[in-house]
Order: sequence, then structure tokens, then C-alpha cells
Amino acid sequence: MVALVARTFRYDQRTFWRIPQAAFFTVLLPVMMLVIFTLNDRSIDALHVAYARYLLVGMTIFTVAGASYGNLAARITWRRETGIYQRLRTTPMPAWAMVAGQVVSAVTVVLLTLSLLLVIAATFFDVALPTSWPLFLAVVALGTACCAALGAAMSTFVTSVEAVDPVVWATMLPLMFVSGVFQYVSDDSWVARVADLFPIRHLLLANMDAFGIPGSGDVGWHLAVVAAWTALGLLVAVRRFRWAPHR
Amino acid sequence: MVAIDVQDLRKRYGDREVLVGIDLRVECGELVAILGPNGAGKTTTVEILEGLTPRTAGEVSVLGHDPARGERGLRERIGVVLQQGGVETMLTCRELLDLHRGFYPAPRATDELLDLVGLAAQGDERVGRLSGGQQRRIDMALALAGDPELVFLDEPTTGFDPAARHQAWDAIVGLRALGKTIVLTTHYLDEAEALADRVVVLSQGRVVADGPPGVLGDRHTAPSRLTFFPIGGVAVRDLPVAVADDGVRWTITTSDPTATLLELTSWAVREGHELAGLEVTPPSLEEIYLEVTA
Repeated sequence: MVALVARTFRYDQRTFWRIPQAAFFTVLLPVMMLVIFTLNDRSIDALHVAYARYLLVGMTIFTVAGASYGNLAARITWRRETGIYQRLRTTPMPAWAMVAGQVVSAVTVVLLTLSLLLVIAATFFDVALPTSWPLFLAVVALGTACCAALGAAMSTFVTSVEAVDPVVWATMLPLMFVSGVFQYVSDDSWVARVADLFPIRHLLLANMDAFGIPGSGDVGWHLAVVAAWTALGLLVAVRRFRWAPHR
Repeated sequence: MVAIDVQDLRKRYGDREVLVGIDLRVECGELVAILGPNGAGKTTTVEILEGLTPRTAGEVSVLGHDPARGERGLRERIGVVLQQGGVETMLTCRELLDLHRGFYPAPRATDELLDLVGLAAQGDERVGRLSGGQQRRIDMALALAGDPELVFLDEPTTGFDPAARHQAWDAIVGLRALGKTIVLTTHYLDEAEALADRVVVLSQGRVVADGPPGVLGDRHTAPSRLTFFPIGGVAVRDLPVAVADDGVRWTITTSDPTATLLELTSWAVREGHELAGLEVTPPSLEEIYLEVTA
């Protein structure tokens, strides 16, 4: 069982790193944004924190979403629509082995990118690391689970390989902007109220708490909303999953 | 030993009936070609046998399993080349084969698989860099990774150039030599004739002919044709047997070719005519096919 997952994991990792665009958008983009945006030394007055510190909180969420939501939506759609899943289905490989391999692989990319972010932030920008590691890890774990489930769910609505990247970015980027991933969005704005309906802002606020930045509100509530989105994503993904391409 | 036993198989999509009662038996070690025009139900039939598509009604047994159950025990014993199967283009041939080998309890060696499909030199190339024909052959190697007893090949040579087709045929003949049972769908009649022990012709969801290519549709007893070039200064009606003239060749259709040939050649010798380009041809598989699927 472990050997089988190890196989599908290695398979997914190999194919991931061999598509340079995927590696760039998932791993290098958040690192680059952190570096470029923090080069001018600003701060967020409303929160009394350095922008670099705030951005690290946001880039954590960006990484989690990109490497799980974006990554899984794209790769599930691509494997299904090119007939790779249909082909694998004729082999004795059980479906759970493929799912587990892809999820473990996504988690690996998340952890790797986050380590890179934290090391760069701490070394070159003198940004403090999380003040509560347990909460930080809980945010990363729950965030990855939630975004992975939503990515798998989203893949079931996309019927061609060409459509998947636009769909991923069109859903992910606006949500990140309104949720305050790049720039603080205050709680009393209507934008924040829209963002409150979705999981990204709740992940961001919970992560602010993990980094000791005030103004996050009720962390338990944030995590509960994310858990509910995870359950919804899983339900849709499992019910709508198909092996066969849409042609 | 029976590898595949299908009785009264039916498949309906909405109110469209695509299979209307198929009976099919394939013995172990047999190479059966399923022929038929587009939309006849070839791919639906094999997808039901492979366990990819559920059936609407009928009895289906593949190596003693019901494929609709999707049992791992069955999938370990079959190999499949899909008509539009996807292969991972980012891996090398060797990596892809090793991935698939890992799914089976007793896989064949990687080098042996590459040899079998004639890709020994491409083992370390990325699959995406191979030609279309080579990718199709890697697909065939994947189907053999688990050393299956039964192999399904759904239009394995569609879109190939003649050289690639013959290489694929060699690979299929190689499989036969290993004692595999093979079910092949194709719309190339020469492919069926060259490879198959038995041809099953489907048309509109029914089996309309079933037999060895040489005797399919009573081909062996159907009328043969004697043809030759027109004889200068002789009219068709001067000949002792009925002749059709298409402007290029004269043709005599007969179910008694031996006697007709004797009559024709005796007449020609007596009259001092040469029958230039004389040929005796049995009905082609294509004619039989067109007749049964009409």
C-alpha cells in the first residue's frame, strides 16, 4: 500500500518538476513577489506591522492555494482530458493510490515552497517567523486540505485542458485580492464582507494570528469556515469525479 | 478454455440502442478482429469487456470475471490499448513502463517490453518526443507491462503510415507468439486478414458475420471472378460464357470457376486468342464486408 502511494507520488513529482511553468507559478512566483514587494520598506499603519511581515502571511496562503488548488485543478483536468486517467483505470492501480499520491505530492510542494519563503524572509528581510507554530501548521494543513478539495471539485467543471489555467487564475486571483493576500483589507469594508464568504480570507486572518499580528478576530470561527468549505469541496469532488475525458 | 463469453449483450444510451444483442465467444490463444463501420458498436463492446463502460443487459464473462465489477483480479490479467488513451508525455519510456509495471504482481522486464514493440533505442527518451506511431507502440508496451493473458487493442494502427503499421503488426504477431489471447478492433480489412484467426463483423449493434477471414460470409463458396483484357476483333457475345465489359477488362462471374476456366481457355486456344492478363480471384474480404454491413 505504501509502496503503491510512493510510486504515484514519485510519478506526480517527476511530472510536476518537468513542466517549468508549473514549477515557476507555484514555487518561484510567491518567493519573487515576497522579494520584489518588500524591497521598498513600507508598513501597514492600520496594523502597525511592516509590510514584509504582512506579506509573508499572505504569501503563505498564496503558496498553499497555488500548490493545492491550482496544482490539483490543473493536473486532474489535464490527466482526465488527455485520457491518462482512463488508461490508468484499465490497470490494477486503485483510485485511492492515485489520489493519495497526488495529494502527498501537492503537500510536498507546499512544504518546500513555504520553507523557502520562511528562510528567505528570516534571512534577508529580517521578518519574524510565526509566533505560534502549532496554529501556523494547522492553518497550512487545513488550508492545503481545503484548497486541494476545492481544486479537485473545480476540475470536475472544466471540460478541456485549454480552459483550466484561465479558470484557476480567474477564480484564485480576484479572491486573493479581495481577501487581502497582497494588501491589507480592513474588516469593515464591503470587499471584506464578500471575501468573508470564501475560505481564503479566513485562512489569511487565522494565519495573521499565527504570526502574532493583531486584528484577526475569532480564529476558531475562521478555521470552522475553512473546514466547511473543505467538506463541500470533497463532497462535490467525490460525487462529480469521472475518469473519462469529455470528448 | 474460453477467454470471453458474451451473450445477448445490450447497451443503450438514453433512447439510442447502440448494441442490440451481441453474442461473442473468444477462445484462449485466439486472435479475434472486430470489424465494422464507424458507429457499429466496436468500441462500446470492448469498453464493456474492459470494464470501462457498464452494460444495459446481457451476460458477460471475461476470464471468468464480470468486468462490470471492476475487480482488481481481472485488471491484473488484462492489458488494454485504448483508441484514445493518454500517455504521460513528461516521463521517459522507461520511467512510464516502470510506473505501470509497479501496479502488477508479476510484470515483464522493461527491456523485454521495449524490445517487443521495437523501441529498445528510445528507452530513455521522453514519451512526448516520440512520433505518433512510436507513442502508440509505447501504449502497447504499457498494455503488456503486467504480462496479461488477454489483450484488447482498440484500433491500434489508426492514422499510421504503412511502415509504422507493419511494425505494429509485427508487435501484434509477437504477442500471438507469446500465446496471448487478443481482441483487436479495426476498420482496416487487410489488418484483420493479415492478423486474425477469426473476424467478427458488427453493424448497427449486431454481429452480422463471424468466422475465419478465409471463409467469412461464405467467401470460400461465393462466386469468383475471371478477368482478362479485351480481345481485339472479338465481341463479348462471341465468347461461350456471359462476359461483363467495364471498358478496361472483361469479367466473368462464376460459382464454378474450374469448369468455366476450362471452357474459356479451350475456346481461346481453339480460336487462337491470347487471354492477356488472365486472373482468377475469389471475392475479397472487402466485398464480403460491404455485403454483410450493407
